[in-house]
Amino acid sequence: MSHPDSPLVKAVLANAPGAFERLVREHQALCWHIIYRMVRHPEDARELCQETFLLVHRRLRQFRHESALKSWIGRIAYTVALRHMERKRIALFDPGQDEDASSPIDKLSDGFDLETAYADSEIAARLHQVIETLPPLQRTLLTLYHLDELSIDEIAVITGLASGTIKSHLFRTRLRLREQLEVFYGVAP
Amino acid sequence: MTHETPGDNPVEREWMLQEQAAKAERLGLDAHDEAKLQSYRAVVRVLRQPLDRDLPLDFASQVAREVRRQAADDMRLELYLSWVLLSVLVLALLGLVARYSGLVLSWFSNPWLMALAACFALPVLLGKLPGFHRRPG
Repeated sequence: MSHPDSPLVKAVLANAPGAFERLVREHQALCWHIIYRMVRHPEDARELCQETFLLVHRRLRQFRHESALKSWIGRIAYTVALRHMERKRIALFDPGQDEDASSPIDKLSDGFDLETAYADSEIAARLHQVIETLPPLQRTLLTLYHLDELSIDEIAVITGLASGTIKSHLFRTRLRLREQLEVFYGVAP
Repeated sequence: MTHETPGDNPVEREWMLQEQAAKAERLGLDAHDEAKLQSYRAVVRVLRQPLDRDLPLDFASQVAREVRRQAADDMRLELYLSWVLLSVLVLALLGLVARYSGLVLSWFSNPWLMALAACFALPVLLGKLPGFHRRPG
């Protein structure tokens, strides 16, 4: 087998000392990004991350290398977070939010000064606040795409969503954030 | 997003601008772009910042410890169940011996059967003795 994940998977299955700990260390950031972005509660997110890796350990024999190990673990983390949100009756996304999302393109102006934007960390803080108010799914997709630098296809494997749906969410959310950014700067539409 | 020519569709143009901003931030290119692209780059830059919280530094070792603990628990349960099964088998054997004691006694009184049993048992017992191993060659 020439898959890059194979040696680590084999080592974990053979109970090699430190192998599972290495697997956790390599993938814990992705797991945390998915679960914390979805759940937002740090303690719950930490417990769900642990639950995810216990499931990974239990199910590793079923891993068939059909996708990267990273995507497979991400899929488990996403499912664990989703189940938690269903139990807590938290909505994954706001279906009404997208209805008028095509109009902001027209509202946005070109009068934006990047130098000022970077100089003002308050703007970044305010954008973070807006990101926090986004529905869990949009938040997670943005983080996976920009922070974890996953491709649309990898995100599709993790979330089970169609590529077009992911692109649509990314597009509308970034547009909304850009609109918010320009509102902070008081740029007249 | 769609299969139309990028220049024809405002949504497509906007999407390409977003992607251009993402690529520019990923590659750390200089910011001498048009204003609209700069605003997307500012958004992308915020999106690329680490989250406000993180897992504890020893998270991986904690999880590995938990896995080992659960494995030890499973092993203990298996051992316990093995002992229970063995006890049931011994009890069943004793029950059979008691039920058919007459037949068993007749076997013990037959010298040929006893000799046969000794032929099987003796090598096994001798093999258990310390220092009583066959030398190779």
